Amino acid sequence: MKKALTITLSIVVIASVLTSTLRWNAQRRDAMVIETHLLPAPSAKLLNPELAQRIVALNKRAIEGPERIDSLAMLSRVYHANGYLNHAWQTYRILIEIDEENPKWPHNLATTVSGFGQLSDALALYRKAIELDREYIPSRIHLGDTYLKLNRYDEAKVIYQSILDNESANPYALFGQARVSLAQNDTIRAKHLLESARHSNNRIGGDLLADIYERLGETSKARALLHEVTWSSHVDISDPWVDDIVSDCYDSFEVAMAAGKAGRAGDTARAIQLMNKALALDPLDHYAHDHLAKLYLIQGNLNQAKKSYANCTKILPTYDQGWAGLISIEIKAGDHVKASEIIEQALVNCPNSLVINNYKGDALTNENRPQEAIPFFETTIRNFPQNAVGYNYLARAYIQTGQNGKALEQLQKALNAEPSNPLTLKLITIFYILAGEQVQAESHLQKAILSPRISEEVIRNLQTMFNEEFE
Amino acid sequence: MELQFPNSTFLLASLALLLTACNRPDTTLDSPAPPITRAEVDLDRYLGKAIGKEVEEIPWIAHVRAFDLNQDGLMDAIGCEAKYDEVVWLRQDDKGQFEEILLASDMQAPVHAEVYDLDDDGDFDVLVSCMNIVFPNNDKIGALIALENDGHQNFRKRVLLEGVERVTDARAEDMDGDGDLDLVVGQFGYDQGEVRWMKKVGPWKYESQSLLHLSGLINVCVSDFNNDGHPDIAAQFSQQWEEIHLFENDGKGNFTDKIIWGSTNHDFSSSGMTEADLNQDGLPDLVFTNGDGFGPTLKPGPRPWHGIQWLENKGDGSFNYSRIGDLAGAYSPVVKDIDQDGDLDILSVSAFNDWENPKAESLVWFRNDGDRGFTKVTLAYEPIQLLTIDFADFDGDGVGEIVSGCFPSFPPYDRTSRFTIWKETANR
Repeated sequence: MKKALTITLSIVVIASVLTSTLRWNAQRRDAMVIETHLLPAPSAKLLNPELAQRIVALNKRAIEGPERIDSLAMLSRVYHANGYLNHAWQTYRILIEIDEENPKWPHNLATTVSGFGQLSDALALYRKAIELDREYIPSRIHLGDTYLKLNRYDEAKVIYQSILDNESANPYALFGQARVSLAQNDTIRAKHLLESARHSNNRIGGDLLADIYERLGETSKARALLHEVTWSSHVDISDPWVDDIVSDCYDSFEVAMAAGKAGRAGDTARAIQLMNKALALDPLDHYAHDHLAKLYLIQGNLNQAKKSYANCTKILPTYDQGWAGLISIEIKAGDHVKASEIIEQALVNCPNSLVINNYKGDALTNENRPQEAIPFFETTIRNFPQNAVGYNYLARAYIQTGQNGKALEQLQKALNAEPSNPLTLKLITIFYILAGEQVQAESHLQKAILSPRISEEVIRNLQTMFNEEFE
Repeated sequence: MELQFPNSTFLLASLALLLTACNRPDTTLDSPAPPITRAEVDLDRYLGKAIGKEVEEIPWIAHVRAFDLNQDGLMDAIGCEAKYDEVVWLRQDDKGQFEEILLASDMQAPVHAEVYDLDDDGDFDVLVSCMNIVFPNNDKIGALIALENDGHQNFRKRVLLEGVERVTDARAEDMDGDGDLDLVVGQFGYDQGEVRWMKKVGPWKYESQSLLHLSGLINVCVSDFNNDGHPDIAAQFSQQWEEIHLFENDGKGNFTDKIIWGSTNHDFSSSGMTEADLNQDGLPDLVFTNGDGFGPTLKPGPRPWHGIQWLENKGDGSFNYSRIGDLAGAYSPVVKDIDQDGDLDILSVSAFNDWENPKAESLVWFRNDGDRGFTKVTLAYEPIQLLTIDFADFDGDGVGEIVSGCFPSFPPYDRTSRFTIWKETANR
């Protein structure tokens, strides 16, 4: 009995010593790996003071403990968020080694590595991330994209299809499949896939689809699509493991970029939140205030937009876009008196501004004082000869004063500056129709029809005018 | 026989075993190591001097190319002024002075010029890529214009292509082996773009064949990349694609498209590409920059992944990627032997940097150690917002000089110039 007890106790003691020793060894090994491989912290002189303090503290805790892995994880996040990508890269490598079941580390390292263009290296890392977490779709989309960009179309297809098997409308997988189809010259399949992708998310694939419509002779579809898409409207897949890192960023520019990305993806609330964070880091960034105002306008929050534009004008009175925003809001609200007051203030601060001179000239034209408006448009043209807008306004003022020859001259200059400016094409087509010059009218009407930036309604109206005049 | 259980001995032995067994040797990390940029500053190596017209307006010099246009033995340069729609010739006289001569006006925002004898008449013509509007626009307003030389440096404008997506680069090469110069054209567009080749079918007459519809084309390079005796085309795409495609030529003008490099970082910001045999193994490599500063917010600026890359040609149409170094806002890679040590170095400029920082690099040399290692040497902090450079022996002393062009696309507008020639101080 005593012997059995002794043995049992011995086993318990041994097991407990073994466990403790194993844990101790694992921790010692982690500490050694961290200490050996962690890059020296960047010079504190270049850093935001709070960021510098955090980096020092996290480095210390990562090496000395306690909670080495958590500290290292936070350090990787801080480095990644603040643009110290080599440091983040190395930290992720260590985390992959010592926290080997966590899919975030291979995923985030793959994103960093691929961000520099090292696709071959990213491949294994994305595969590893998926092995650890099959449910995280961004890893799988990125793996598919990586195969695609390595010309490994069959493997890309398998990955995209595996996503579509569970989520048949995933726009990024559909888009990926469409790109594979295009690479394999299957235009019809690509068309259907892109149409499906856009059905799920209309910020994806419009550019490729418009090209396909054009090549297939489906010109009205191409035209409608190009009229609908916002230029450069493609958005990345949301990737929370990487995107959320920005909350630890101390660089106002990078935070503003993240805000812009969120805004482009249609998440205005998130964009506003991030832009406010950017402004907390750099309250004097007038561009961020301007961008924030634009985001508030998208939300329909005119008061906040006004405040943000007003901040622009206070921070940098010569920044014309702040004034322009305020003027625009007052005009839309119908308060022309207030708008005129702001225009006068703006002109004092920004005498050569394109947008402010145009506002002033336009206000005078609307008050039926086109002759007085002309010098303002001339200022615009003098300072921005490559921009069609000033010529358009000036042409309109000339038309109002009955100087049609001069108006035509300005419209031609506008077209020279910007050959498919929608307003110019519309005005010059109307001009030639009213002047009874059929050949010129028809030529410009055709150019208008070819320009997707002109709405179908305007085209119909021009066509009707043309027919009434010449048929 | 009763087994004696030596508790303390067993415990100690177990511990010793554990300590040995668990004390695994330190690991080398399996995943690839981050690239580290070695850096130096040498502001005294070159002295910059403005050349060409003195203009108070903000310039938009989109491209500069060193070329002895009048073949008088003195190196000149051709420049594209995109704001004022001009192509100019910086003609060097025998005293080393440069006179700026207008070659053509109303050039629809020229952004790239290359010099060839396009009509095979013994003089040099200028092939000009025109965007028409430099800033974002998806309209089909691009043009390709040749400036035909009459032999006396008087130039006649010939529109070779118009009403297409905005054109950003064009090269001339005999693509189908029939003895005349065909054209390879890159169209950035915006949402829509294209790469095409234009087969020469008669004097100043070409027939277009589309190779790929994709937006954001920055540069095209033509060389026999797959070593089969026929010129192929490499094309660099930015926007959301961030890819480099190789169009392999069968020698008859039939091309097979494949991607030879890409990034899944949609903000990678590809900004320029050149062809050169960087490792001098007889195979044409590609060197490319990423540094476009415009993104989803109002203010452009540098990103941490901006820099220079090398695609090393393996000889069969495949390439190995290497990072050369970091450079915020990197543009206009130029591969030459800058320090005359027998290996090829890389020059680049920064178009988008943190210009509030007076130590933000503007002109940079990546010095080759001859063993695949490069050291980043900052040559100048200003003029800022340089977009384009070229390198040639302008003064005939056997040592090359740099010519640069400035394109301030965003404030601040101080510390700018139009064209600058940079001479080595040791040889000045």
